[in-house]
Amino acid sequence: MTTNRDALIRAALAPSADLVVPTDLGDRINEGVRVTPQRGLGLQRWMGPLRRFVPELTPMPRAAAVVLTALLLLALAIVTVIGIASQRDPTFPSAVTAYHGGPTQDGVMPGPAPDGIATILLEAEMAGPMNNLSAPLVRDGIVFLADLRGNVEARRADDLTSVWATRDLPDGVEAPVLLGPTLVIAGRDGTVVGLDAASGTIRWTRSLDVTIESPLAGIDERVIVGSSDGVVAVLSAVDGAVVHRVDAGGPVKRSPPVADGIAYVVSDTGMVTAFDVATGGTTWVLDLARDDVEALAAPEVSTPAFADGILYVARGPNDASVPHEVVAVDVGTQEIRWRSTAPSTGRLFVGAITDDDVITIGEADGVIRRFDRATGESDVLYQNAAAMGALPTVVDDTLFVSSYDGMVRAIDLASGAERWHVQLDGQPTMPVVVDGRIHVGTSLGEVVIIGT
Amino acid sequence: MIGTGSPVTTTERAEVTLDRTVDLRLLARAAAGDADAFDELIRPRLARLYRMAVAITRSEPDARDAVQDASISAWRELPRLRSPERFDAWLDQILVNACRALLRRSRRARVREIELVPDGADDDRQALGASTDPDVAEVDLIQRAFERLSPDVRSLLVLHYVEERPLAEIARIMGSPVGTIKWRLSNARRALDRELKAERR
Repeated sequence: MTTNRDALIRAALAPSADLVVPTDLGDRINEGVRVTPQRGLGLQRWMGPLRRFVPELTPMPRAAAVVLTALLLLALAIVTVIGIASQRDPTFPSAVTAYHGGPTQDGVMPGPAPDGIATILLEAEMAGPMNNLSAPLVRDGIVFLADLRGNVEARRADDLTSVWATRDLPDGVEAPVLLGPTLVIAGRDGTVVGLDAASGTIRWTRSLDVTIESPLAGIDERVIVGSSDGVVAVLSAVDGAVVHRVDAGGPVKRSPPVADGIAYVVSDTGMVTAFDVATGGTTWVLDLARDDVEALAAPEVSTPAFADGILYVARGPNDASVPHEVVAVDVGTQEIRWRSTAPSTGRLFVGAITDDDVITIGEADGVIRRFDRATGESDVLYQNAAAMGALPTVVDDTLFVSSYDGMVRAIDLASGAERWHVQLDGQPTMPVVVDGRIHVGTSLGEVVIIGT
Repeated sequence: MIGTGSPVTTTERAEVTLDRTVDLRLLARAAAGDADAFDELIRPRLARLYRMAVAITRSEPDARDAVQDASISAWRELPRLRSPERFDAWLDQILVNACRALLRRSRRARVREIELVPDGADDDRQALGASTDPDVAEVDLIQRAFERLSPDVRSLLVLHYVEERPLAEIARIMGSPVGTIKWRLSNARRALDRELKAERR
C-alpha cells in the first residue's frame, strides 16, 4: 500500500522530469569501448562468432577455462600455504580483544580504566566512517580499525601513527576479530578476508554466497560468520576454508557468544541454536519467539551475551513504540529462567553483565537499566539525554557508554552517577577499554583515544 | 533522441521502462567484439541508466561517470554474460555497483557535504527533484537525509521507491535472496528515519 510518506520519499528521491542526458555521454562511452579489450580466454574469443551459429560448441571452451583456472588456483593455494607456514610467528601472544569484550560478549573489558576525569588524548582521521556495530580492537599496543568502506588499518596506541593500512577490501565491514596472527574482516557482500595482523597483507580471501550484516566472532583458530541468509559459517582462520555450515533458523545479524567451545547463535526470528564450534554439530535449539511479539512487526535481536551458564538475549519487534524484552536462558537445561520487559520504548541492547545485573541500554529512549540476574526485575540506572546505538562496556565498577549525540560517558555502576563525559564529533563506537585508555572510532571516520 | 541532450520526460521514461526486450542478434555481435553493435545496444538505454545513477548519486557529474564506467565494464564483461535475455538486469546490476563504488571513492565527509553548499545549490537541488509543493520542507529533509546514507542503502531505496522494481528484480540486481532484500529494505527505511531525525535536530 502506498502511503503519503512513500509518496514523499519518491518525490524526494526521483530525479526531475527535466533531467537531461549529457549530449556527449554516448560518444564518450563509444570512445571508451573502442580502446577497451573485452575479457575472455583467447579460445573463447575465437569461438564468439561461431557461437552464434553453433551454440553447442560453447561448453567446450568454458570447460577448458574451468580446468585452467582450477590448475592456477591450485598452484596459488600451494604457494600461499607455503608462505603462511613460513611466516607463522609462534611468539605472537594469544590474548585477544574482540567485539564486546571477547568470546562471551559480556561487555567486560580487560582494563584497567583511566583514573580520574578523562579527556581526549589523541585523535586521528581514518579513511572512512566506522559502523556503531563495530569497534576498534587493541592488542599489544596496536589498535586495529576496520571502516565501512573497506579500509583496514593498524596504528600504534601510544601516538596513533600508522603501522599499516590495507585499502579496497570489501565494503560494509562490521566488527572484525583477531585470531592469533590473523585479523579477519567480512564485507557485506559475503567476502571474508584474513589479513596478517603484523603487516596487513592479505593471507586469504573466501567468498561466501551470503549477506553479512553481523560482527564476526571467533575462538582459537575458528571464525564464526553469521549471515542474513540464515546460515552461520565456521571458517579456519589459518586458510579461510569453510569448516562447517550451521542452519540458524533465521537471519543472523549479531555475533554469537562462545563459551566452552559452544557458540550460541540467536536469529532475528528468535531461534537460539547452540553448536559445537569444533565439530559443527548442533547441540540444542530453542525457539524464543512469542506470537504477540512476532505479530507486531519483523522481530530483531541485539547482540546476545553469556555469563555463568546463562545466555542473555534482548529481542522484540522492529517497532520503535514497542518495548523489547530480555530473556535469560539456562544453557545447561535450555530452560528460560525469566523474561522481562522494561517500561521502555524501542530496542533494548544487552550491554554488560556484572556480578549481579544485566545492564541494558534503550536505543530510542536512552535509558540504561539493570535487570537482576536472578529474577529479571529491573530499575533505571541512568537516564541519558540522547539515543544510544553502540553497546556499553564495563571495567570494575564503571560503565562506559557512547551515545548518538557524540558523548562517551563513564557512569558509576553502584549509584548511576555520571563521573565524566567527553564530547566527540560523530557517533562513537563501543568504548574499548585497555591499558588505562578508551579507544573508539566514529561515524565521521576518526579514531579517538580518551584517558587521563 | 536519447543521448543527444533531450530531456527525459515521464512519457519517455515509461516507454524506456517497458521497452526492455533485447535484440539477441545485436547482443551476440557485441559479445563477439563488434563495438558498433554495442553502441547500438547501449544508446537507447542511456536515459534509463542515467536517471537511475542520478537518483543514487544525487550528482549529475557522478552519474555521468557511473554510467560511463558501467557501460565500459559491461562491454568488457559481455563475452561472459551467460543469460543474454537478462542483459538489462545485468546492466542495471553493473550500474548500481558502479554507483556504489563511486560513492565509496568520493569519501566526502557528511558534514562537509552539508556545509559547503555553493551558490545556486538550491537550483541544483531542484533539478535533482526537489518539489515545490507544500511538502517542500519535508522533501528537502528527505533528500539531505538520503545523502547521509551508505551507498548500499541509497541504491536499495532508489530501486524500490524511484525505479519501483519488484523485490525479485531488486534481489537479482543486488545479488541477494528476496528474503534478505526485504530485511535490508526494512533496515534502509529505518536508516532513513534515523538520518531524518538527525537532520531535524
